[in-house]
Amino acid sequence: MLKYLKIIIISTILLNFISCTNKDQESLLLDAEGGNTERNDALTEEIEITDNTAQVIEMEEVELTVEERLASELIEVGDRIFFGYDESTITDESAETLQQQYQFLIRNPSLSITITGHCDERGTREYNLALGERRASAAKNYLISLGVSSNRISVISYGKEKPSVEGHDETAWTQNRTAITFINND
Amino acid sequence: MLIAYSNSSMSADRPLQIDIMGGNIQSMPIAISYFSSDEDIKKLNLHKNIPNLIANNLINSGLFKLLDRNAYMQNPEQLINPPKFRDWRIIDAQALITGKISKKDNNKISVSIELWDVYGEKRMFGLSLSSQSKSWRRISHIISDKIYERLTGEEGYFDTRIVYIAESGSQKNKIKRLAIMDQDGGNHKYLTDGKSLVLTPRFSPNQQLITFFSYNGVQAGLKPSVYLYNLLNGKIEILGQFPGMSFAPRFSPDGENLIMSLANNGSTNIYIMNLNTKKTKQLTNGRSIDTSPSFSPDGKNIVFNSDRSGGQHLYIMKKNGKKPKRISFGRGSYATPVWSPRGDYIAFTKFTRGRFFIGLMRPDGSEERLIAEGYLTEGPTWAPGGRVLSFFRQIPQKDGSMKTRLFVIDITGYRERELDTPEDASDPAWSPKNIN
Repeated sequence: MLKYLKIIIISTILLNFISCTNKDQESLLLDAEGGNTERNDALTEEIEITDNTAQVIEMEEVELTVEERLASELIEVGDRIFFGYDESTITDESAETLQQQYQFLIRNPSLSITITGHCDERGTREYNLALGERRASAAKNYLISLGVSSNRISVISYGKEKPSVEGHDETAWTQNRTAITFINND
Repeated sequence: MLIAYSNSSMSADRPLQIDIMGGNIQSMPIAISYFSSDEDIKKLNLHKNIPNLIANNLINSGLFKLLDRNAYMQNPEQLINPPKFRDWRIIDAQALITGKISKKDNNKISVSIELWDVYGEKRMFGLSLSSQSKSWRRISHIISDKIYERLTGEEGYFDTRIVYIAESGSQKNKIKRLAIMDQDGGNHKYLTDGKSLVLTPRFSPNQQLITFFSYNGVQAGLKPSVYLYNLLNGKIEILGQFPGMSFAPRFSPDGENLIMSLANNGSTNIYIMNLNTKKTKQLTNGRSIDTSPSFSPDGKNIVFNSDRSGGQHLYIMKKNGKKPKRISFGRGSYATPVWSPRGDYIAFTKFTRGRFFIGLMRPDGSEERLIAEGYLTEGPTWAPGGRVLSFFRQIPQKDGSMKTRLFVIDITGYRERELDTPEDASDPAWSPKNIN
């Protein structure tokens, strides 16, 4: 009996949305083109079957919309930058990411973006709302300094309310001190 | 240190009174008899429910200990007459509360109570209230306040409500709703549906309005903003649109103005808005984060949280923004200062050495002390009277998740307890006293 079958097109963004692997079940990874088990290849399809008696394998091609293709491209370019504790400084690494985002915005001149600012949970709600705004604004101002028109960029702070990563340790906190760029859908 | 209460060894002439500022955690033994009533009232169980709710309030204050009713030698019907004090001294009751409920027309009841000083052999006071029988909880809270006031000399806080943020869902995608309940957890209800993220509710002085911060309208291009919720009609109103995000709202003591923060282009400053004209005036300037403003009860000063010196510290300025002065100088970060309704303390959140604390200091910054701590404790709010606070705390669980709950503590720091909520709860705001 077919208990569970899922086809995943590997683009990191979709992987983020569809990840329901049950590690307790036997899992088989197939390359759609061949039969090789292959991971971390942005061009392969990954078929994940968690049924040891599967007889029917349903395949479904997922056609990316323009928005999804752009979102996926932005993620490949680097959609987020990270900050030190209670800091909003653009590091060299962040600057590189933002330069990539700038190039992306040059390639797609009709796009406008929203940058969301986030904090780890080690601060009060109100202060973190302000700090998240400061982080998102730092990213915005860097993009403006590179030449992006300010009216293409909105910022919104979520403080510590919408962490990207669950957990209550340094690993999670590091991942949650971010400014994340999203393409506006309008 | 002052003693917890005057007891039998002292002169009977001295008034029976607890000093709640005493660090002594010995609580006063009191007897609260069931009330005498006719059979109609007994069917509703009010002769037990009302004294039980009064007892619950007084015990929760941590200042009183209820003596076991099985040990009472006089029954409620005998207590229609003045008590035989000797019978109550045997069980060491310092105070005795007796009561009578009678039925009136139109589903109304009349509740009369008397407070007796057992060792002084005196009636301390009596009180009679009448209302709809369905309002028995409010009647009980008002009676509790009067007894508390008589026995402690402090303002009671039982006839009040708490608005807070009810939280559910996963850490990454928390649903947050405004919720309101009586201070003892009764009459709980949700005010918003959870579709928009809402935070930091605060009561207006007339306790009919709640101001809060919400992401409502963000999908439609609005900035996250400060809103008003009207408890009388359930209407929600946005308080203006600004170039950036408006947040951290609080009412002025006269209810005419709102202070809040506006964040724009990396700076956060404090503004005051006249609620009638909706005009705003900027009170702080500069590139720093100035937030969490709170008025002094006389309306003359504002305490707030700023990182202008590098770290996060507390500052006081005049209500027009003039003469800012730093008042916190200890290690760590200071945030969310809230001025006591009595004016004598400022409560705050402190983060130092990886732990969060709730602390108190005098308005000049002296006498700092920490009264509660945890992995995360945050957001103090004062009960009327300024002797009791609530705050919220995240408590790490064995499975790695967090439980978030509201707590109540008094300013001595000795008497802390958890408030019952149906699910995770944060950002409590204690209401002023109900208007009768």
